[in-house]
Amino acid sequence: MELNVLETETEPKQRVKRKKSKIKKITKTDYVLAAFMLIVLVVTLYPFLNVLAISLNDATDTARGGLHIFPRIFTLANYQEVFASNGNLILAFQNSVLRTIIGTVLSTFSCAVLAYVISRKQFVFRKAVTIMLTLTMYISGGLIPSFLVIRELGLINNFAVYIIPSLLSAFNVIIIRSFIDDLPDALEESAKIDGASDFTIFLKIIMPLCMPVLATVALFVAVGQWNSWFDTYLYARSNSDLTTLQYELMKIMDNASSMTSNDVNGINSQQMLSRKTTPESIKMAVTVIATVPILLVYPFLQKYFVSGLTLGAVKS
Amino acid sequence: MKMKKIVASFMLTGGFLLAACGNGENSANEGGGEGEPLTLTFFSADLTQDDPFSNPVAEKITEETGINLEISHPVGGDEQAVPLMIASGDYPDMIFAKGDINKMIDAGALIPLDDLIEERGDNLKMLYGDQMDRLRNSLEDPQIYHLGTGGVTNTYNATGGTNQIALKVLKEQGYPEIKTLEDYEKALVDYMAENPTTEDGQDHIGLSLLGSDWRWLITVGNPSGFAGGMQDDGQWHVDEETGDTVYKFQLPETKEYFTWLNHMNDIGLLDPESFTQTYDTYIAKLSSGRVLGLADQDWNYMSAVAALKQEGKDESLWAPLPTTLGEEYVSQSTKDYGFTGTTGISITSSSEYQEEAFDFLDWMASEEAQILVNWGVEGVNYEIVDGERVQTEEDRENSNTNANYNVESGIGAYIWPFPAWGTGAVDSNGQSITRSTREDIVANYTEADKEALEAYGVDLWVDTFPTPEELGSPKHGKAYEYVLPSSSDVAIIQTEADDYTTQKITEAVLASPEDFDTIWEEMQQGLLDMGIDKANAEMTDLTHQRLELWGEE
Amino acid sequence: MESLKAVEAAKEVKQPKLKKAKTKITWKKIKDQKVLILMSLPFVAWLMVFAYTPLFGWIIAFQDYKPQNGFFGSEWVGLKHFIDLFQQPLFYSALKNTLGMGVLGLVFGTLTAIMFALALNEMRFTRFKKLTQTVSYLPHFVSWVVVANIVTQTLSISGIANEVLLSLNLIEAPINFLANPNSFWGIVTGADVWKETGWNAIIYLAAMTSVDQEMYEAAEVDGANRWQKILNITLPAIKPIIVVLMIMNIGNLINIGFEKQMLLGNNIVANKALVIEKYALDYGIGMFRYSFGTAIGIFKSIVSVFLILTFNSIAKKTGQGGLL
Repeated sequence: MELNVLETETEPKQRVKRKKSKIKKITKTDYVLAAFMLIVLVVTLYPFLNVLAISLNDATDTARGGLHIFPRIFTLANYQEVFASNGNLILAFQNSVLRTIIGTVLSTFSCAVLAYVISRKQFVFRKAVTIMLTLTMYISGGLIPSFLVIRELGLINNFAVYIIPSLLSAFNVIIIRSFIDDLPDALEESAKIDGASDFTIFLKIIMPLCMPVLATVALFVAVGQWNSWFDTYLYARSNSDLTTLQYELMKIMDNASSMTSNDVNGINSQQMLSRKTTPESIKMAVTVIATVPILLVYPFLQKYFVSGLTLGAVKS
Repeated sequence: MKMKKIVASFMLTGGFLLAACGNGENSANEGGGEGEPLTLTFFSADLTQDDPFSNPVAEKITEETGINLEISHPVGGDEQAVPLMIASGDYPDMIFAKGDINKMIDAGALIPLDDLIEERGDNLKMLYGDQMDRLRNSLEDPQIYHLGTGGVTNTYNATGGTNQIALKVLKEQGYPEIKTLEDYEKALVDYMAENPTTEDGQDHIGLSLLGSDWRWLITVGNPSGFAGGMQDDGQWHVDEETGDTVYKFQLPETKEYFTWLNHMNDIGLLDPESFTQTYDTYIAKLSSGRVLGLADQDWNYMSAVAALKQEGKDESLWAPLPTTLGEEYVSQSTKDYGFTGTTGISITSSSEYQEEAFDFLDWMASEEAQILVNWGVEGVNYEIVDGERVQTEEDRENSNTNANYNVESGIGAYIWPFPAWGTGAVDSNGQSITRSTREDIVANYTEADKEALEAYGVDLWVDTFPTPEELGSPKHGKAYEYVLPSSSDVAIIQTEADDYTTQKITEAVLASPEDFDTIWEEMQQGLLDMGIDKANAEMTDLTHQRLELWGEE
Repeated sequence: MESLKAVEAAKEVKQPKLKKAKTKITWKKIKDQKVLILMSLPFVAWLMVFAYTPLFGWIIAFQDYKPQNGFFGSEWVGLKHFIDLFQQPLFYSALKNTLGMGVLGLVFGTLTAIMFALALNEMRFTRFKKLTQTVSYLPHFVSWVVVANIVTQTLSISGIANEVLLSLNLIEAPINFLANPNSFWGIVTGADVWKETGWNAIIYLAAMTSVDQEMYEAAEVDGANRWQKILNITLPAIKPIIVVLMIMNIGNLINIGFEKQMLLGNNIVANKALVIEKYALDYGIGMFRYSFGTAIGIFKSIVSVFLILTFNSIAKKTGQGGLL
């Protein structure tokens, strides 16, 4: 650390120049940090590579254990088995993408609207709405009452069941609100003077400033939408047009696990023995198929996480 | 202008709510007109795969009965499916509710089938014969609400026994008789002394268990009763004479077994990771050929068997043993429990097609149907050679390699949970109704198996066990199949006692031998404090009720 | 340092505005705020329908609920199920474990996520930074089954952990970590940190984007080193979000799930591994004791709400901002 101080001190104090050329000097600390991050990288990459390796390895060989990040006996059999056992995957994938996109856009926007409203200090019902919202994080009527409500609303076997019941998340609203709270008031003050309404201020000023937190919330919502399968099962199973990828994958895993438990008289076990896959290996292939598409979302949102970009852009 | 925007944004969200109310539920029961097959809805609690009921066997069933099934099933281990059905009142026409059947009966969701069986259930009458009483619900309400599955008249050609031992151990010692734990221990000790490591240099492990998760019951809990000559009654033991039912881990036999396990741990023969390893680690260990002894069931370590076979390490595979605490105990592994059809398909009270559904189920119990669901379509899946059904080569190949064989061919897909003939049942020509025979079992043995069996002078591993005839059948079936009255004391005490004994026995087994008795006594006291006596009394009651209901008392 | 102080001072000026919100509902205000009210109305309706209507299900905690009798037809038993619950020794042990692991998870989960976010923020090699960020959130998507397998293998008698310790001569014989009840909470917390740090850091990274770059530049001019910049600029900037997240997570101390405990636990450490949700499953719904299960749910909600209200007022009184 001392080194760092010395270095900055030897630097001529030319503020203007530094401001323009944003290149920062790379010091020893940076290398130490990079080395540390390299360890983090390896340690966090391992479980995923492990899953990938198992999914691409001969299932019987996998049972021997000791598999780390490279397959020993490469095979696509596990994936073939997944795709062969279900003809619905393409439709399911489309529905998943659709619900993820629509759900993410609507939910993020809704959370942002509500967050804006409860961030307005002058709003008369501010406290009431905030409390009402916050409590929903900690209370739940349970599965059966929720089911009955959703059924009464006619949402069964309706695509809207993927969107509406999960429209708001108290957690996300509060995250956005605290981001809004932290924004400088000056901008909207001037907008107010120009006669802009609250809704215009929200759309024109607050939303653009909130891009980093909206990107974060969008990521949370998208991952949640993408991963959910239970709502498909509960509310849309009798309409196969509404099936989703995670639901179909869940069924494949169910079926894979049941291969071992339905043994009646040693006959099925023979069937099992001649299979090319095991439930464990199928699960790994399913994990990869289920995860990779949603992983692609993050790098796309990452550009919003660059420090100072948004603020600077709006200010100038 | 501003207002318009706001309104527009609300339309966006509110509009969805409105749109949502439009679509109703799609109705299931369509058709039923002249020549059109009638579609019945059916929920199967055990199915794990979508079945569109469109395979050749299903088509044949529809052709014969005029019934088409729309089948649904729980996904992702959902246990709320039936409670949800009850709460919302949406029942299918037929349901296999499994353990939830009592809730359905309480809710008035199922119709009694007695009269229907009497009037139009000839095939079912023939199937159940004198076992019909075993379908009855309870003493207070002795009607029949379900058609029991699981097969009437079964034979058993395979068993896991109490313990298993690697074939190479038997071979080296000249295929000795292993009847007691003492023999078993000696065989392991002697072999370990001669061969501390495998051929590729890994240490041998004497006895490995999987006591870290629910499989504790399979590899630790159950063998203690089996070794004591008890049949599989779960965590209970039923006295055949008196019907007295007690919690198994209160008995001296189980204590003796765990004393032995404690001793095995003490002399270093028990795998020290037995109670901490995960299933995957356990399978990996077994697959390496290092593990000489097990106390498991074959379905639990199938993937290890596959791995060893693939590597040609047939001699590291395991043979099932009827081991007991001593000569005076008899292993019950090959016991014929009789027809215990406590679960099966029911017809719901809300169905508009109760009689049609019943006729369908009755047809499923006919000889014609049973041959169809077990063997498939003649000329495709089997051929008649010299008056006998013979599976085609093509079909055998398909059944061994196609993961979706059951649903695609339809063979085996409609046996469970429908009314079914058992593995011991024969058709009117005297041929087995199911496809599993002794020959099939033998065909799957390895050379190492066959060599060992030849040395013992038998054909099948089950032949080294007592015969089912010697063992007789229990009058009460299996205690773990009793339906415990929900939220009764016995259900709660049982769960508490299971959690508690699992921990305490694990602690006792891993303790040093001089501490074993203290921990065991502590556990006995703990069980008493939990009110185990009350649970024993209630279970004894349930046993008597069942005996009376089944007409055995 | 001067310019830094100036920036701080600028922030101070902002403060008083926060406090002027004295709300007294008058028709005039409602008229003035019709846009805000209209904006919130659909969502309030949503909350009523989807979050509050299902709460009628809570009444079964005060009944001996039987599905066939419906929600309103079962026998009323008052607080029987709550009294029953408070008499169970297992419940207290589950409560203790839940709160214990909850607190450890909260403390270490928050600390590591903040530290990781700060470290990422400080990284200069842009591409490597992006790569690390993307990779670090991967374990979030790997199921607990897989993570538990890796953890138990690493810590087993023949695992890497023991190999390393043995080769460094730190221990003489391999330790069976998984057989030690006292290390169970630590193992769970460690596994959780490993799996979720990258994911949890995302929020803090987003919050850090709001820091004005000029403040860093001003601080540099004043000769501030990295540590000083982190302590005086970055951390204060993300403090509001830290406080809000802390309070929300404190409310969730009792809702820590049970999957990881179940998968990492075994029968030796069972006493330290039983958590409330597993207890509710095994002794409530799992046994069809819907009323008892619902009573546990209500108890959890009450604890959560009590916790957030308490910590919210502490945060407010100490001037750290707050949630409500």
